[in-house]
Amino acid sequence: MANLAAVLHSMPSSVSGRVKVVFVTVDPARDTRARLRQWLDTFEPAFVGLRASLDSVNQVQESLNLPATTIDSLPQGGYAVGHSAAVIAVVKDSVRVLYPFGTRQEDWAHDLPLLVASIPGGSSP
Amino acid sequence: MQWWCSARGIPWSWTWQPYVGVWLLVIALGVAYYRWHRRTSGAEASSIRRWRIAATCAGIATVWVTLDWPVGPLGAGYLVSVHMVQFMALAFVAPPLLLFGLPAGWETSLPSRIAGSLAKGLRPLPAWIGFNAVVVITQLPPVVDTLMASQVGSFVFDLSWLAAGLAFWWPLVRRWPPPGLSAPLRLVYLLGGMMAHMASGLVFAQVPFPLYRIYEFAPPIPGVNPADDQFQGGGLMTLGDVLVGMVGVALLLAAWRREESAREAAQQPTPPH
Repeated sequence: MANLAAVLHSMPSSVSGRVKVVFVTVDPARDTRARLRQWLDTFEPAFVGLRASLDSVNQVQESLNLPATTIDSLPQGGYAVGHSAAVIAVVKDSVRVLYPFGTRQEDWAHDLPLLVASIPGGSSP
Repeated sequence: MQWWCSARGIPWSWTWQPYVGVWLLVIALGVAYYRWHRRTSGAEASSIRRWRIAATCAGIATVWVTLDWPVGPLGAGYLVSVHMVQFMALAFVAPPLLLFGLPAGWETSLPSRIAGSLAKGLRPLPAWIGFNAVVVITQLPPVVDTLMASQVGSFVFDLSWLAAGLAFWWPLVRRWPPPGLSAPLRLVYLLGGMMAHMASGLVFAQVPFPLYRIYEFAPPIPGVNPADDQFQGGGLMTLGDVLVGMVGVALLLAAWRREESAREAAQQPTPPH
């Protein structure tokens, strides 16, 4: 999120203004609305946070061929959440690209103008 | 527990952590200097000895602060700007202090085989080339991303900076084996030797995106953006190089003036009695 925010801040508003970042939590029990908002605000107040039941989130992940989120109790107490950390680029309700964890700022800076340009009526890169 | 700082990928915490490898290095340096100073006790004027002991303490303290918690782990796995400050401390600050701290004639007290190897390896040209090679190689993203991820790699990184710094400063501080560089060449050697590092500092300040994966994906420290951190690191490198260059040039010019004065005094005809 920090890297995505940094790249968007470096882009002209003709690009950054047309990109909506939506973060979906895979731990809705921990990530309350307030907590999610507070966390996203550390990167960019315009970022949107979504919460849903874990079953609903897993259904969406399955439809995108992403692994389902797993929650395991730890012997020392607490729990660990196993989840994908992919970023999915959606243009006009259609999935265009799935970016794995480790996508670099340089790659975002290259791809975001192209994705915006692919929006009907989007600005050219 | 880690024995040397490396990138761990866990959130940063201000909880103190011990790094035994760093302590052993600092203790080894302290013991070695104590023995060298004791062995040559009385060979120099006490005022110079006091300066040498002060330089030794400052050099060892610089190594310790640079490698131990919190600077060590911050530079190894979180902030590239701190990583760059570590380079300057280990290559530009600690080495001249440690070399000045060596007692006069230290080289001649070494076993002849070691002294012979030192005399060959620490000639100005090999030292200059070696230093700049280390500067360039240790700035390459694949090298940084690979080595900083392990304790051994990070240890190699830090010691290569210190060793390269000692080699680079040797012809300027120790001037052994004689005759060494002439005064004007010492200035050229110093300024030329800092060019590669200064150029990379300017590059870091200009590149818009993080160069190193390890710092780009480090667990974030609130309020710090990897690209801004790199920009600040490049600025610190350039500023540090300018400062070190200015102090170095001032000291070399002062030494040059002293040498000229001594030469002129030696050439004065002796007054008749």
